[in-house]
Amino acid sequence: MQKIKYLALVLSIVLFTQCELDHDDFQASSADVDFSHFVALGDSYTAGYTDGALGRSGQENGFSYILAKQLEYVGSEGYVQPLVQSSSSIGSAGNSYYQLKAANSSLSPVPGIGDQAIFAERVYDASNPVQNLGVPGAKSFHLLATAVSAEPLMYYSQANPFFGRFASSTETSIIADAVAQNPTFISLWIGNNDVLTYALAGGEADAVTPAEQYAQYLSVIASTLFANGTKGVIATIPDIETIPYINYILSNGFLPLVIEDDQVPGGIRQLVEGEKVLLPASTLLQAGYGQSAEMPLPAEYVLDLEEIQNIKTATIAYNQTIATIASQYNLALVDLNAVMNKAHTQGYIIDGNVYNSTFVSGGVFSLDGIHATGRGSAIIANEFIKAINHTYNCSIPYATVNEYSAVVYP
Amino acid sequence: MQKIIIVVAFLALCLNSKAEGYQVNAQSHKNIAMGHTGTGLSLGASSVHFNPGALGLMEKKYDFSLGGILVLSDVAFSKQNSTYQANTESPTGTPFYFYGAAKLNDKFVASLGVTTPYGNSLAWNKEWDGRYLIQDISLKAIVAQPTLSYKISDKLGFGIGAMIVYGAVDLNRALPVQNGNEEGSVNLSGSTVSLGFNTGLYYKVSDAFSLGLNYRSKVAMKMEDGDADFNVPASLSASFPAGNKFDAELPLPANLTLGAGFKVNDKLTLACDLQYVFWNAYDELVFDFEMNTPQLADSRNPREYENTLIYRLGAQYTFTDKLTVRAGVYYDETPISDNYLNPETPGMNKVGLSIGGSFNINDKLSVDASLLYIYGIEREAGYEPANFYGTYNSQAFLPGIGFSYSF
Repeated sequence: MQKIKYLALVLSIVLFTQCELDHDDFQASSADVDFSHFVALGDSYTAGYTDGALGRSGQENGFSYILAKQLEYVGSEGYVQPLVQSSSSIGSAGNSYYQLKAANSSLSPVPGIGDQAIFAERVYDASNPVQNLGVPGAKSFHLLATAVSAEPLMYYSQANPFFGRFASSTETSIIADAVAQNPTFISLWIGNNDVLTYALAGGEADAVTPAEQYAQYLSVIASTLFANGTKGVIATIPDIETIPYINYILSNGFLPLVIEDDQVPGGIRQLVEGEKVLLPASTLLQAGYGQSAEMPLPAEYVLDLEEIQNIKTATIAYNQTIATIASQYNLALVDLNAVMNKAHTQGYIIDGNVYNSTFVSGGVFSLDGIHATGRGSAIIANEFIKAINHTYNCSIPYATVNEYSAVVYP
Repeated sequence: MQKIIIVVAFLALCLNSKAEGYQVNAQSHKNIAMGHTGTGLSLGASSVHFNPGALGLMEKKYDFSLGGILVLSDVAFSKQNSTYQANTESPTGTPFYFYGAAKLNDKFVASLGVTTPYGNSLAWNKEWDGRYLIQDISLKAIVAQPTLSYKISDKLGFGIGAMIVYGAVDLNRALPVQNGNEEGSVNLSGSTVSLGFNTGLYYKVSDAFSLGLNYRSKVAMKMEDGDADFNVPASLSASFPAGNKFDAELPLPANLTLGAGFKVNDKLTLACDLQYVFWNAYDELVFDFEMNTPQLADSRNPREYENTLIYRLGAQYTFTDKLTVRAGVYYDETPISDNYLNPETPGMNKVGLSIGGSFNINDKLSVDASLLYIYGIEREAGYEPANFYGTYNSQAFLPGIGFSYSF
């Protein structure tokens, strides 16, 4: 029995000294790129706008924030966001976050009432300047804009309350606020709204920024930000047809809907294949619009072939400009257009989950059908990381996509 | 026979896989301690599993042995191109064995084995990054094997047994549908009884040298009407119907083992085994749901396992009448190719190092103990259908104790 006791003792010693298992630790490397002060310029995508509104949860799941968090592994010293100070949210139509609600055995996104107090917040702190300079609604020229109208005199910080919240002064511009903090690394993704604002209005309001003007604006923006050798990353503009807001309604095939068109005699005609019916039309279609000459679908819910062609031509030209700028200043180039096309056609499989552009269930797009979910934002952030790693030979770890927020079902 | 009944009543235990794939090569302390060799040896009643042919030449009238093992295992995962890391939180596995053999007459030996040669008990954190592939799995297989052995000549023995296999599986996966802070999940569970056989030839070339050949057949574990319980947000309940059932089939692979034993002198015996595992039987795992919906298709999971070899060496040294010590080593190849490595069965090539011994309390009764350390060789691979890649490390300690009784 002595032996057994001895053996038992040996066994228990071995068990309690069980050695730690090895891990294969990620070796991050900045490859001498200075990531210490990162600044992001852009529009609602950069701001973290999602589910139709700006709020803290979206800001903490936005692509620029996710990217900034990963840059901490290669020397970034933090990322100041103009965080919404409450748990509420505000969208450009005065709404709050959309929520998925069940009604008549189907699910639909329903907005609440937005919190206007968010627009009155003043989140600028001179000693801690805001690094997420994404402004919902901003077009290319808005980055440069100070005054936007002379009579009455109005500054962009007054015209766009999303910028007014954190602008350093009334008279400033987005780009001035960027340059003033001497960024060492810059993300620039601008131009979506140069086509999208027009597209979302069914081509009945606003206008596509002409490609030559876009090229001029972007050239000024890039020389201001990058002419001194500052490194950065720039992204292309996705084809509007890759977003659910544009493609969802007819995703199961063409429907010969009756639509308004003041260009034709009688003011109505039938929808032509290739034309797009916009997401907000879904309630009208359910109410019987588009089925008869008496109730045609209003023109602002339809993009006709000419409007689509204008948008596509502009987008292609913008993306050529963006690629030229990227090579001119040796910037990392993210082909977001290709990424969104892949999400639209094939989808991405990430850690056991399938992501695609299908509205609500696809996982990439939030309930507004335009902006990304947290996980869609992480996919975008990882594409930025891939491009930065490739261009500058650094090793930035990828974000873990499935850790971020997803569409919430009731 | 009373002993048998007691042991059979004792079977409400869970298992853990520590050989490659989901085999559990821990079927007797004497054999474990010798690198799990024994096909070419006659180590007593455990030949029921290792080579029923060897029992044909059994010298004792009765031989019993039983034992249990603790499996303390850990798998570490480091995600590719990421700082994400995770470790398993697996419960302690408890494989066990019981063997009883009795000489009916000069030619025939009847025996029974109850073993746990397959199983998998693995748990990752519920919220871990691979949760859509697997959260946790418990696969159990208990084999009851009534066996008959025949002495063809003083040198040659043959044996064959029927394997009656009780198999049960219970696994959890997360589903990518969010409801507030809770994510959806599915639990799949079921059990079945399947059949196979185990046969062997044992040839005593000389007093010093013996050879054995053993074949354990494949057992197709066909699960019918298993329970598929979905936990999803209320608004999706129509897409994931309650009370759903599934059919699935998991093959327990065949094994062909050639073994040799060599008595160097009165004290020292050496053994080596070459075990060929027909893992290619495991091509894919399909959960065929009784009720499908547009959101719920059958789950097809390619596995594409490949046949493997296990190389085993063992030694036994008799110190005194009372004490025998053993040691062994083996190398176990993984059946899983680089693009089909799933965290449900995170396989890698493994080296096993073992020690152990027997202490004879008296002429009839001995205490057997063994300790096996399994080191998994670091592997960077992934599961392509889920695009889930990373580096896996693993290790396991298997201490165990048991008794042999013969007269």
